[in-house]
Amino acid sequence: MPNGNGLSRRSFVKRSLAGAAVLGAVAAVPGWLLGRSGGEELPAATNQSDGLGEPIVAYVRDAERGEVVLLQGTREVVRQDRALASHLISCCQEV
Amino acid sequence: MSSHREAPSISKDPVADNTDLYAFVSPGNTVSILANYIPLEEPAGGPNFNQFGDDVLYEVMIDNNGDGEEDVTYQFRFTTQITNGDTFLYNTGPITSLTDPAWNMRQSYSVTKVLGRRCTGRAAVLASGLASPPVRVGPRSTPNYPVLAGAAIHTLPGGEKVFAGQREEAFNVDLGSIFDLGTLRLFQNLHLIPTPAATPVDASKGFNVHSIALQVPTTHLTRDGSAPSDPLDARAAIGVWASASRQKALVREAAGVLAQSAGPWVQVSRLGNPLINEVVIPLGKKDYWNSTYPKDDSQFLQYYSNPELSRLLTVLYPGVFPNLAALNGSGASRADLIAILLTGIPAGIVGGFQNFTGPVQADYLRLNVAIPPAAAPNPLGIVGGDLAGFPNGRRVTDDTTAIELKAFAGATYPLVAPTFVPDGAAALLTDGTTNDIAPLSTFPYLGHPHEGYEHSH
Repeated sequence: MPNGNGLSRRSFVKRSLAGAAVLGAVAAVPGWLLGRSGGEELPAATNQSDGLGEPIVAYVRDAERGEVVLLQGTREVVRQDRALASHLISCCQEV
Repeated sequence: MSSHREAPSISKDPVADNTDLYAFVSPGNTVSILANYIPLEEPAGGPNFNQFGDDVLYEVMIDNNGDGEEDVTYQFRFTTQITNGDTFLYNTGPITSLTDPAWNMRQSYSVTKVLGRRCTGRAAVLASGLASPPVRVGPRSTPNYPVLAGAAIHTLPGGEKVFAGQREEAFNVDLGSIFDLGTLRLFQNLHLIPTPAATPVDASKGFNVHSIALQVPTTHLTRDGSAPSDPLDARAAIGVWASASRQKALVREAAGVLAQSAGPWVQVSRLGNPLINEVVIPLGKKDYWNSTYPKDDSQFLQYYSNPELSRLLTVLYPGVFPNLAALNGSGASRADLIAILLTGIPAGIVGGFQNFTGPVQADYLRLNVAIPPAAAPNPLGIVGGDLAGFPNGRRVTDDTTAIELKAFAGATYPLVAPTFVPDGAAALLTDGTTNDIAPLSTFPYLGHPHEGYEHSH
């Protein structure tokens, strides 16, 4: 069974706007970009651009908890979404 | 060095590596802050000479109420433009102005000011498209360099002056000796592994840095917009530090596609007092220290209150520091160093002076903006009786290596324990180096960079 850290590294997935899986999640639930962010301080420069239209980087930080981190522009959104995590993991395993 | 290559991770990321920070009162009720990056720049580093990172967020922070958090922040972001991709040359002819078409690889930058916390404060872009000067290539490529550099001093609508570009490395230090088991060439006959005393060597001689220089009206920085004239006025003490951040993720694409950064900014380097992450914070904590914030510096208190450097001096120079050895052995906390480096010096310790920002322990330069510039600066700063110098902020000419060596050897302990008698050697400690190039007398203060053509390394 994969553990959290190793799996996170292996699960590092990047999708451009032309990509599929992560973008699909954006389209389906557009409100999640306003979801809770990571716990770090975000310099105000991050507010200069909402990053919409830029590529999205997603990684599974904790597979067991279904914790997925999504990065776009200077935004970071952390989602507890086991289905999304599982989907990303299976995408990687298809490679 | 001061903070050059001081931590394992940042030593591999020079573009984001804070090297030195200066903050001092300048004429006209202004404060000048110089934040340097990119250690040990080889002047002849062509064809791709050093430049700021387009993917780095550079920041200068000011705390004016003593809580260890920023109240005013200046942010700098750079953009590189290559005008002619069909040549390997940095310039295709002499660069005679900042708009010269012969200059092939140029940088511009934006300045954003944030009032309040960086994460929640009010941000305003003060300017964008500001030109950095070219690096100093040589007499054919960058003739009349002072004119080019002078044209890159910009005055912003709010009264700030800014400059961002290559400068001469003003921090002198005998790196070769200090990191050879703490040898100081002048005194190495007394070292545990003795060799004859020798002439010091300035290891940074002939190198350049990249500097972000900022001159700000004092009233922009104090808590209530005042320009205090009484040094004992609590509003006069401000804290200054600088940092560099990178975005959380970097994705390298296939050949021909630029790498893509994404995510929030993550701090990878910071700098307040010189030499702290260099010789106070231990190896295992250095990268972590770079990622943390001054408001949380109490977690590192043990390294200031019982510093390794003070203990090393007594071991490496046996018999030379008996009083320091006794102090170390007593288990007494170095309250003098805690005051100088983490809280500021309260009123009543040094006549007519204070730079106390309150009980919050935060590593940053503390500047009393009511102390005017000295007519004849003493490079030993307050230790030398000059209240306008380090550790009251830091000037370009302050010999912070000598000051801190003396302090860690016990020379400043009488500030908190008047009966303590420092060892005679403490007052003599220095690495013995000096900078052979005088700084400019006006903004941006750091000297013009060495030419690649004339380099001597």
